[in-house]
Amino acid sequence: MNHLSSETFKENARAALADVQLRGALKNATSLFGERRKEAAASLPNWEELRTQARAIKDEVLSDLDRYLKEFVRNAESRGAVVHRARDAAEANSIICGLAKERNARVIVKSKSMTTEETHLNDALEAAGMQVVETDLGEYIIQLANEPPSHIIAPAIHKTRQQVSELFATELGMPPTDDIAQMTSTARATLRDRFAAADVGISGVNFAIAETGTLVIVENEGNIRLTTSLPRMHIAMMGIEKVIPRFADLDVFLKLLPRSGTGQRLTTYQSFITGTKRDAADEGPDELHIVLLDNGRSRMLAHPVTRQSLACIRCGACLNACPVYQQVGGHAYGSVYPGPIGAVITPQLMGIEKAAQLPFASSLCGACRDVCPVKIDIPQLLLHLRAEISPRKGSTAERLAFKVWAKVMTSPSLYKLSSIAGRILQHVMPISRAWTSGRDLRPIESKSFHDLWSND
Amino acid sequence: MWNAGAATEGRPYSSARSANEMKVALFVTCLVDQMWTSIGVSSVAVLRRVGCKVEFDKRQTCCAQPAFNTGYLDEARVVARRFISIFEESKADAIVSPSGSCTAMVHHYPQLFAGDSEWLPRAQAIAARTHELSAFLVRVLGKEDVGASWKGRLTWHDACHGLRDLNLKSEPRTLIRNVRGAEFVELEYADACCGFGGTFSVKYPEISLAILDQKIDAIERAGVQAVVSGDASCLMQIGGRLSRKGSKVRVMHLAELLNESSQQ
Amino acid sequence: MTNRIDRFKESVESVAGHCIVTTDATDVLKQILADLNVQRVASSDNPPNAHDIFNFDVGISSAQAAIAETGTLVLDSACERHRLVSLVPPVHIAIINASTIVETLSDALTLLQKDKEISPAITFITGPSRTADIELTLTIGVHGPQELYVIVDSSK
Repeated sequence: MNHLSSETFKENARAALADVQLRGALKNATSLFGERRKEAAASLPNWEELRTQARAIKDEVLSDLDRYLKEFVRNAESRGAVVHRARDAAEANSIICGLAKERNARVIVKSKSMTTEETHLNDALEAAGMQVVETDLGEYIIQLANEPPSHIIAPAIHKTRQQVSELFATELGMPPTDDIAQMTSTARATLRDRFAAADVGISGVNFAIAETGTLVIVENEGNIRLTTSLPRMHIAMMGIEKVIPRFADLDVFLKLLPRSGTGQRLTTYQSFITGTKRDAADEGPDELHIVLLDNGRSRMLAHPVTRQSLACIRCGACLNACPVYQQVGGHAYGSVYPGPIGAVITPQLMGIEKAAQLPFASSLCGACRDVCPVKIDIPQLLLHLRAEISPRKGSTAERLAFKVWAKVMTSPSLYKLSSIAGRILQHVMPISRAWTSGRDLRPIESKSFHDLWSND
Repeated sequence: MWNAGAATEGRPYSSARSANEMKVALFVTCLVDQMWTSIGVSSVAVLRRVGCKVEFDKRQTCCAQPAFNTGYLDEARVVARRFISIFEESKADAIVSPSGSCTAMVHHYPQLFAGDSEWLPRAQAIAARTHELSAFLVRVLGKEDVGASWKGRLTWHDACHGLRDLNLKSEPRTLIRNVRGAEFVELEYADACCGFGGTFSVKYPEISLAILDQKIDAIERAGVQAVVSGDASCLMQIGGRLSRKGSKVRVMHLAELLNESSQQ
Repeated sequence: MTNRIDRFKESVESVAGHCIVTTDATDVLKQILADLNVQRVASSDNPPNAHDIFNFDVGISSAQAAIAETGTLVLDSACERHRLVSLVPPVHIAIINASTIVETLSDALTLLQKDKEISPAITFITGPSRTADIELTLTIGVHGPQELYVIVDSSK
């Protein structure tokens, strides 16, 4: 089992750093994704303009989210969808379990959805006696391994082909192989059988269009198309922030999302689902249910600084760009949302006390802000959260240290005195010990610049 | 305000705005003051060499960044107010600092005093006058060559706040390329963080070191005698690891390089 | 127009699809089917039921539009009512009219809303199904088709 907690980030990170195989995989993945994103962005002459437009559209929605949600609900329902609103994870899970039970569902197929990971929907459905099968290849692998995802767009990034082969051999009876195509076709065959048996399909949502009531879901594998076409009931779960105003706005987002995520111009498939089928003879589900999840999002929305957290389109670019994520990977964050955006969202979703370490797990280098397709100022958000946490939850020693520091830095005589004291104490202070574990500490100068300065 | 457009027209040794008229207030930073005085000394020498008159207010201490970045905003404001008050008294044309990070902090002051009708305008005025050293030389004075010489192969590490908050990319490279005798090579992933991050390096020393080792590997691959950067903090991080590993590569602040006049 | 068809073809090929431009689509289709040497061919004009489709080797569909800059097929459920023919069989052959190719993503989005309500299911298809979930190694053909042929009828 590998379900870590955000509260133990420091220990999780230490374990990750000791895992040579994990670090090799992370290095390959983050540098490959990073380079592809860079090339894809450079191939569009108006990349910066697109980022600005995307953010403006998100800001437009977030400044009046209720209105856009109402418009979306009205248009989706007028075309046959049923919309449910869930205040929190428990409510969302109970709505979905209820719908599945009404249908006497035994087998449920799922396509990748961060929000259902957030609510731990699979546990709830399994507890209610249903079989839930993840159908995205990466999600399927980690479901079989009973592990959480380690990357927003590549959930099994931490696994080697040997590990996947062993897993498939044990769980699916596949003869061990080095051939990834062979593993993929084993998964295809096994999952086809589950698709054929499924009573309900559950998906996530990338964009929900207020103007038309349309759900837009993007993918490469085809499992989302199967999940949303074959079973007679389709349930889509989305965070309330997924709404965008107009169909035409997709032009901006469909350019930014795949390029930022995998470096593709477009992913292989985009499904645009607007209500239910018009003619009973058509293929496709009879019922479409949309679950709108709040789960702490209204709280983020209420504050002018944290509001921008909700502009995220879950592309994963900030993970690949982050020096901390590059070293420790996704599991260390103990959250379905890892990396820089995870360090911002997790404390807001789970409560600051459960993830108080995360906003400090950053060197504030700003690489995340540079690559974000919707220009979220992640360092600003991290600083905002730090300011929420430190004065109330910082250690007594730290709080005292900064009080003393402020006194010293506003008094020339104390400043001078402390610089003398520093020269004496530099080798015994705990701050020095943390530093000198792997680095030599430059000694404090015998004379400060203040001492050296003369006006000639 | 300085005319940045005019600055780009300047040729070496001729300034867009005559440096002789320029009075500069040096903000040396607490780190340089206590840990690396030669950066301060070199900054003064370089600024004087290009014709600036340099003043130094001995009441100065810190820009408030440690508290700001750790989330102690009340303490940060106390220290920032004092910085503003001291430098407001100066009649200098510009406040110049040999640190991208501390300059960026001063540029964050308006954010720190948002909604404060007394301090916000004062913070804005101070931020507008404060420049990082290479930006001041190239953008304000139009000086791309300060007459330095140093023999050897060297590379440049982009310190994060200088690069991303102040957009310093071409300025330091231009200055370095004009150092006589110096062979400049680009560092692989020059813009990647060195892992310092202030209190981050103390709160998470293992992660900080793991990030740092990527930087060290790149420096070793570059086959240089020196790695140059614009922030003493990054240089302490990088230099501390190089020293621990027994590397012969030396770390040098841009101000120190620009003050070199070796005849080797 | 020729340029646009060329751009479309180039884009389809850049995502591992095959693209044949012809004035005789029927003939090209026959040739492809003969080369593939397949037994069971499903057509969206006369589709099998949803569960039988799993036993077919090839699915043939039309597309209501296509995008030159990305090599994308646009399938609109108002015309293309059978979503599974283009998805489940290991080979998907799409036959499109050259005149329906638009230049950009933006053009295609505009078209979908023009003078009508948006159809319940619209699918964009760009190349065959793919994954890179194991060691980031690109593998073609996961849940959807392993091969995609696009026949562009340049006479229409």
